Amino acid sequence: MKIQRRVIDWLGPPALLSNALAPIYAAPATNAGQSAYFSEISAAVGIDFRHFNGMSGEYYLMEIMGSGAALFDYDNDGDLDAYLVQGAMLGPGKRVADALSPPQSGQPLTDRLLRNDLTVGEDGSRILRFTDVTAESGIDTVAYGMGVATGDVDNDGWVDLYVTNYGNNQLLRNNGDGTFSDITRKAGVGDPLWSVSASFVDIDRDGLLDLFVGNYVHVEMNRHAPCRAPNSAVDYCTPLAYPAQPDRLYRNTGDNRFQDISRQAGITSEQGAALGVTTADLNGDLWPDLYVANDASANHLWINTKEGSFRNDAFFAGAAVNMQGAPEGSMGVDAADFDGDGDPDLFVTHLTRETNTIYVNDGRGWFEDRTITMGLAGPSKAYTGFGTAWFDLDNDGWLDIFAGNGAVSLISAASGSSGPLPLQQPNQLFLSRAGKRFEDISARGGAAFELSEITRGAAFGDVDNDGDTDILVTNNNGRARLLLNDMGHRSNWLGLRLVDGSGRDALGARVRVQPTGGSPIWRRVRTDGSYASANDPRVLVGLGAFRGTASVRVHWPDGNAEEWRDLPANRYFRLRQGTAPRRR
Amino acid sequence: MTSRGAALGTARSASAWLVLAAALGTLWSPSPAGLEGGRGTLQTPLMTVPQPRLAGADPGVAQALSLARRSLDVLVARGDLTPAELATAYGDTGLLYHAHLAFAAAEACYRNAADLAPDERRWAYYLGYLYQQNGRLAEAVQAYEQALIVDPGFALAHWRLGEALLDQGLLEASRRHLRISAETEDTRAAALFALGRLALATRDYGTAIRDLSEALRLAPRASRIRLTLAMAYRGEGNLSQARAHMEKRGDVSPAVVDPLITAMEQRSTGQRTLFHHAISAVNRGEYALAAEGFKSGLSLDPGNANARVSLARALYLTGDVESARRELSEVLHGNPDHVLANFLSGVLALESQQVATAEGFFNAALAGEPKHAGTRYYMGTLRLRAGAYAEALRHYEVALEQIPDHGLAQLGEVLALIRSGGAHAAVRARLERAVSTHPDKSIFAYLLARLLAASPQGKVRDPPRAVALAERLYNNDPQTEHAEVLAMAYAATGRYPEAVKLQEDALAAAAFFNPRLVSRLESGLARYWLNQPSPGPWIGNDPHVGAPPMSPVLAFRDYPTETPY
Repeated sequence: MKIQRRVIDWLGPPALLSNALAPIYAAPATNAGQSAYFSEISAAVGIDFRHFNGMSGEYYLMEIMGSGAALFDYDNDGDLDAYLVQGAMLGPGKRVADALSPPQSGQPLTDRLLRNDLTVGEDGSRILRFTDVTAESGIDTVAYGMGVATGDVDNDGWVDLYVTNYGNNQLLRNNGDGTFSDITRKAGVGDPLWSVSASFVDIDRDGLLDLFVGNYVHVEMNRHAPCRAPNSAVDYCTPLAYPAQPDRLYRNTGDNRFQDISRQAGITSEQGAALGVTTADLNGDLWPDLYVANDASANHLWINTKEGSFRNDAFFAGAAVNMQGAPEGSMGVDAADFDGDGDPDLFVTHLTRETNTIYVNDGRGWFEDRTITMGLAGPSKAYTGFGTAWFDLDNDGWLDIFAGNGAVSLISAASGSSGPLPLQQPNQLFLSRAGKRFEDISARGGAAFELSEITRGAAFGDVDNDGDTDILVTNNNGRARLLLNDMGHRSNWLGLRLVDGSGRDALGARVRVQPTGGSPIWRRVRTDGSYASANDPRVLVGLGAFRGTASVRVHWPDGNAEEWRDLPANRYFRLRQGTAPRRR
Repeated sequence: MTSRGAALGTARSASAWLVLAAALGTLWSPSPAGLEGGRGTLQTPLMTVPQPRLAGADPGVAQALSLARRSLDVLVARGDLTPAELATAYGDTGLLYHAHLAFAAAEACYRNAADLAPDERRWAYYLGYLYQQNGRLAEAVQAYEQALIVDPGFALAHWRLGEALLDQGLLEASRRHLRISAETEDTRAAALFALGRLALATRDYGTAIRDLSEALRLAPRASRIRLTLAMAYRGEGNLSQARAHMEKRGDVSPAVVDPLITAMEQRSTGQRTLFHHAISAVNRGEYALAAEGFKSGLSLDPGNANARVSLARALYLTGDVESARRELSEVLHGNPDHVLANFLSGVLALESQQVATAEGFFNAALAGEPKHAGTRYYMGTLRLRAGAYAEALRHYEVALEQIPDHGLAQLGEVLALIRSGGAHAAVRARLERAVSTHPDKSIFAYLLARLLAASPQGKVRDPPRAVALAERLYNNDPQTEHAEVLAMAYAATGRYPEAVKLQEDALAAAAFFNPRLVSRLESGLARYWLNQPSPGPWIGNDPHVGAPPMSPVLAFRDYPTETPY
């Protein structure tokens, strides 16, 4: 214990780290009498956000594609705050009054920053409350918002925001005093193309976060013509009706400046309508690779050549298209080691009539489409998936899946959908059976899984610091919903915030958690993945019934590794690079 | 969702009840309100047919659906139809709805038809197809099973059921039905494709390779099989086969002739629906059916130039070149700047050896879209063949800006560069890239090995690597040219005895099989005897390195377009 005090930097006040957890809300029972996994608590905790898509009957593609959200600790107080991306009125000469679905009254049409004012009593009881601090934050978003990425671009220990838009993107620097400054122009990252998902990743391992921006298609508002469904009815266009846009790769050169290296890095050599982005060392060479989920075209797997460039190996690697050789409408994506073999696998959400697809990594960066045998093909075919992640719902050590759904064409919408935008579909929850198969347990998800909405973004993180993963779900033309995990903390867990020497979250670090006498568990520090959203950078490892100590080996993004031993379960630890105890 | 629970769970009991009622002589009198009011005194639980959402639909579509609906209402209201007649009325209306993708309305119609005529396989089959289209697999399985109760030998239902079960992960049941459908010629290739995927899903690579290879043999145009086959070969560790199939992957699935689905799709009325079904037929490789679909759509929308180009492509692929040419001419008559029509017209002109005419079309295409990749490739190849290497190089470079990994354009670019006397360093850079992106294309390794062995430029020459490349080439495929390049590499590293031996063997083989190589092999051998390496990497008019091909079939079948209609 003495050694631990010396080397371990506690995340926050001891009260936050207690295992004496008293849930804020009693878990409601499902119809079957079992406890539900989630409670939907947005209204009760002050998350009062309704997405406005600006539709006026013109069927602009943008209006059905947004928007995302971020869970990040902007004020470094040890809990996750929320950033919600907002739309705007669309169309030349259109006013908000022309909208078919009016905006929420009393709220300006801008992105919102909500501060988490979590308090934890000495008995472990929690009171969760969010306060809208957008006005005092100085955040002024200027375009039709799509998504958000988080990362500390200047290594000052304060997490910055990159907001993707239909229109110029924005880099918002966290000033560390509760306010943000728009440094887009200086940074040179105001990509004007239609961007959706982005990721901060240190591609050259120089200690500075670089930026990958996934761009979708080129839609000119002034030349818009409504599309028709095959049955001739007016409907939203498919992305194939528009030219795909090149993605962007910006190299962080320090001093809040970036250099656009898309071309020399090879990124512009291939185009696709990018919607989802995840970064991970997919071929085991200790360098970060990029995986881009493209809508209606082959996905890209950019392998890092270690020389400032990337080559797309998606086809031969088996991760470009599905097992039938068909490109799919890829939206959300995540990379994680769901099967416990130490390498990151891929999960991609897709259109109705396609399956969500699981690509299993063989450790060399070669993948197999194992959707069918994992039991994920059938349950996903009726839905269009967007925000998603592999996360340990029940803290049993195996990664489960959330898929946020909502159609994109009136033809594929569920027949019971209604209203001015009848694209509603229910969300889904899949429980891992020891990494060998997934079971659709949406019926046990709670009341939120009985709703039918148009889910787009989903951000994952432990909002109440109780040791399990909660989900912030955003709905197009609908309310944001906070799904509080009521079950995960009943199992044991270990929470890790991994930071580099400067105190920045070590995005891309891989961590091997070895419970004493148990099997190793591999996780990765990331905020990217899902759809247009940014996740909690902390690593939360489910330990199931194991209550002992674990050793943690961290493979830092710069290629170095360190090990901490005897970390007790059911607490968060902040592990800083270079501070592991040296063993004699 | 519809207003009743399981689709077929109640079907048999309902229809049994109806038969019983008929046998007892009970007359049922439907509500005057028709469908909306249910079944009046008998209270048979026929489903309410919802009104489809067709906001802004073509007038022709709206009118057709409206008329059909009124006709159905009238028939139901008459009250003198037998259950079989009423089933046909519902089912036919369902077909019309289904053809226009009005799924909820079609579902209700099919279910009523299936209830009323439980011995009619087609309504259950259509219902299964509809459910499968919408990802409702459990219901699809039930419906197909119902169709198979009526007709146990229904191969198409076995195949579709096998696919639905495969998606559900019910592998044994899926395999059973797919094997049955694989015994019927019409569904054999598609069933084997599914069986191959099933085997791949279980990592039974040997079985996957066997089934997929057979599927490919039966349906050689079904280029999607190749990617799956490549994955199976990769799983087995046969990377060269994997890469070879990967290179030939495409977007065509095995075609299945399904008269019932075709009959349904032919109920389409609006041009967009017709075009949609035509494109689906193209994707299945059913070009004659596709041409019919485009013709029908164009009869309603004769000014749709993109659809007419698609018609031309489908016609060409059925072998009707003259009709294809006529359709393209018609497009260009009204839209002289249509890029794809100009490009394909140029391809057709070239096929008829009308080079000047072809160039006229290609120039018109480039006027509309200066970076049109296909046209640039064709122009590059024409110029290469004409000896205008610098011009060829420029065209290929523009093509490769659009499609950087296009192997044939890369080859053209390299040849143009070599023949225009381009710097060896530039040639090497392009070959290195081509070898890395197309490791299965031996021509690039062959050229690179020659360059590394015999370039006079020290920074380009790399004889040890030339040996490694050439040895791999020769070991994989011991043809004469590969023996020659290996001998060349040996000589470059000073291993003259090995070079002599290999060249002598190559010469002996060439004397029988490849006489045109004899003189050049002899001169090489003479040098090696004198311990002299090759004087340079290239041979004028190397027969092993011809200009890349210009295949009209590839252009008409595979050239991408974002706006097919």
